[in-house]
Amino acid sequence: MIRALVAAALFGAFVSGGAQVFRTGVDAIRVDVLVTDGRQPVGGLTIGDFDLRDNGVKQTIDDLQVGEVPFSMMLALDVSGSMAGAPLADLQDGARAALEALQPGDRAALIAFSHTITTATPWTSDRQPLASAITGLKAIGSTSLFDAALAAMVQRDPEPGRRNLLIVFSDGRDTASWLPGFAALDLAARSEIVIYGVTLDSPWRTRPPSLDRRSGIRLAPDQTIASPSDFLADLATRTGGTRVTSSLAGLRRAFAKIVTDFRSRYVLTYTPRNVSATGWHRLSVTLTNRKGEVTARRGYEGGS
Amino acid sequence: MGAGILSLVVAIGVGLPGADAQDLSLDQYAAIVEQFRSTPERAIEQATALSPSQFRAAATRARAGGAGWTPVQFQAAMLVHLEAAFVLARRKDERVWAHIQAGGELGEVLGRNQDHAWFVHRWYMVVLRVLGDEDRLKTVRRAWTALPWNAAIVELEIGLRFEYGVVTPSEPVSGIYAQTLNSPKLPLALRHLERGAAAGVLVAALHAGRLRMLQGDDTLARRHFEQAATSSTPSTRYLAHLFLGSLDERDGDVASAERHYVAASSAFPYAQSGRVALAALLARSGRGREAVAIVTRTPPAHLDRLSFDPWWLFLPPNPFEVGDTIKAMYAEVQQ
Repeated sequence: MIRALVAAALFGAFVSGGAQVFRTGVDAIRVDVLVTDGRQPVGGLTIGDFDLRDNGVKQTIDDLQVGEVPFSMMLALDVSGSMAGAPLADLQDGARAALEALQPGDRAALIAFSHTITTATPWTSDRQPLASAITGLKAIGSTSLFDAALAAMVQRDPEPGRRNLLIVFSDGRDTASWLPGFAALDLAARSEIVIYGVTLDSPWRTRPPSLDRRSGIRLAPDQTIASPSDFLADLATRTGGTRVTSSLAGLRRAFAKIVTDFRSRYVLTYTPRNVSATGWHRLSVTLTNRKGEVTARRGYEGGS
Repeated sequence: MGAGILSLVVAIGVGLPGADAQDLSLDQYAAIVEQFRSTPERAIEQATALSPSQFRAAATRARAGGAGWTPVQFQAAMLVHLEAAFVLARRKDERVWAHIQAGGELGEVLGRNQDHAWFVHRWYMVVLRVLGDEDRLKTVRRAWTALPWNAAIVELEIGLRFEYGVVTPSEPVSGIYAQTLNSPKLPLALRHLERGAAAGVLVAALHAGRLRMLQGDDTLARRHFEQAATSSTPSTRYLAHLFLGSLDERDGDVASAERHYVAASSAFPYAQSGRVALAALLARSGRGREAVAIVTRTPPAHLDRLSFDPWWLFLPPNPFEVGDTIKAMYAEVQQ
């Protein structure tokens, strides 16, 4: 079954220096697409294999790239008290595996979060400080998952031309955020970052959150106080990523596979034609001549 | 801390303890209190080295209106005496009660203002939980209940206990929201909190506002939050502005929301909730560069204590747990 058929990202939506600016006149749209057959990425596709529609209108794809665009990977790791001991060691192994899967032109950064959020390492192509920061992680406290997801997205790599991958790991539910999950979900839908969520295949994941750990604020009229029961799945899906569940022992493989899959994604670029420049653009990407599952962003916000 | 005060601290450190039973001057006493705000361990060490006769006169002078002490100085002095008492209690040293008496007398002055009465109330709660001498505590308890705003503060405490009873069920969130609205504890919590708020206890207004917000009564919620935002207690002011900002953001008044988040951040510049709230707003408004600067703003490593977030006081276990209560009181004097 196709999990998500639609996707897009604003090409050049971020100006240099890190300012996130959504243009008033959209020039080109970049769509980050993963094609899989079963669990394996499908390679060798060309522009002619894709059907891309913007608000239902078929678009001409100007360019297709795969594996050529250097990328930036942010790791946002839950180091709350429940990760203390052996689980933290497994998580550190997983994070190291993600680093090892990077190529020389790639960059990475690390955020660790419990109830506090710490930028352990800013953006760098040097693996040494990242490895040291991973080794130095300590597990204590409760979990500000929503706040951390938002903080990680805000800190996307400002270097122009890069694709951004955010891997958010959490072993449980949010227990300490000020922001509702809505804040992170809303920003994810507007961002060009591709998010992969990693959770543990454990009872914690399904335990219901309670209001004593919520500010109760609502930031939009249509926002409910309730947050989605599977926040990371919702977050990832909005960006064209996926949520992966893993055992602790399987984290190393899971993290490495995410990086490999991300590298094998296709980047389609098109200039919107015959659609309004403003408002929400619903996108769909399908294959024309091949069988496969397409995972990509649901849409993008046009300029005002 | 100025160089003058620093030199005083050094002088006190050299001149201590007990070898010389000279009274502390008010300046020397103020230096210990000021040092507590930045390096509490050193200040506590100095305080425990003093004999009661050394600090009693200085504490009396500090209580006198002419000393011109700020509420934060009173609060810090109370904590110095509280911590010194705990250290001495572990050593079974009788000076513990002289420190409790000095702290209580400072609290008597501070607690004349209802905005600070909650701080004094919590100070007494901690004393009574930690120290075990029942005969001595009878005197402490009498001093506590004689505080001018005691009735309003008791309303606050009862209201808080009901509030925490309301919002701690173990059902899915959607069910909790309904349960919050229907809980018989909600009107009880509100009744007590709003009585406290009406008496000018601003932290009661903050909690009442949150419950009214959960009920969907924005008019009353705003009224309570605006009242709480006038507090001179940084943590109360901080949270009130955060709640007000969220209401404005939901109503589409982005400029006002930003003003409230900035006001919150001016009370606790490094507290996380204020930073992420403002960063989220800016990112949604296309001001990513500013959002990054705010979300990555952290205190220098040696001032890590400044990253305390008053929002964590709302989280379990609850505001009555001794360790969290002390942590919160520290945060209020160390900003």
